[in-house]
Amino acid sequence: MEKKFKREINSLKKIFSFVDEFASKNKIGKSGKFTTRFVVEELFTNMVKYNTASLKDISIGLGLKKNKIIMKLIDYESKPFDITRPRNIDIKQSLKERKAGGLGIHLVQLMVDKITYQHVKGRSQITVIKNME
Amino acid sequence: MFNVKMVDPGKIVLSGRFDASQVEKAKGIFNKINSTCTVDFNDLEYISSAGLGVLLLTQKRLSESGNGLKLTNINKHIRDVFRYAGFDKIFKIE
Repeated sequence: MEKKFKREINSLKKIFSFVDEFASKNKIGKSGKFTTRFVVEELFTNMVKYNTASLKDISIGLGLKKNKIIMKLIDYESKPFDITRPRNIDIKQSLKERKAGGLGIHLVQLMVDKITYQHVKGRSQITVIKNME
Repeated sequence: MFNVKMVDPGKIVLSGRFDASQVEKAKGIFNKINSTCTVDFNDLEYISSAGLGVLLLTQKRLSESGNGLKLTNINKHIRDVFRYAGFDKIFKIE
């Protein structure tokens, strides 16, 4: 299933309803639903926050194939931003050294099994695969 | 649906889904804390990095006066996120 959402943080309510509908239809358990919500929110909000030049909607696709959850987000008008690149977040830093922000993509990278990124003719496409437990 | 409630000066209760659209609502409560406080996660089903950011900034601010947040009743999925984020080392989790 695939749907386009307005490029704004307030789209999250509709996005979570979309994720919940997908999880329910495909009998995805709590763990898979949590990961799908997390990945979709982090990638979507990243596109919203760091690409303010575009007004175009963002597409979110969700699928299940051979016990793998496949999440696909498309930003139709964007500059390259390779989210597969390591984020260099040092989680061993002391509380004093830690800074808020930049953690979302790092966490996504740890939570999923595969991430691919393509940027073609101004269009960014991120595909994430999570093996079901 | 997300809710954040200060049930007494030393205890905050979270419930629902703490996502990026709920940050300002949460800050409205967390910014009022000035001493050690317990945060009950029992009815919180989800948190994203935006929610983690609110907790981290509060913890940093409180630590300057020797105080901090104590987090209780965290579900397995949120606990995993905390571990990946290294938050299990900078928060007292009960």
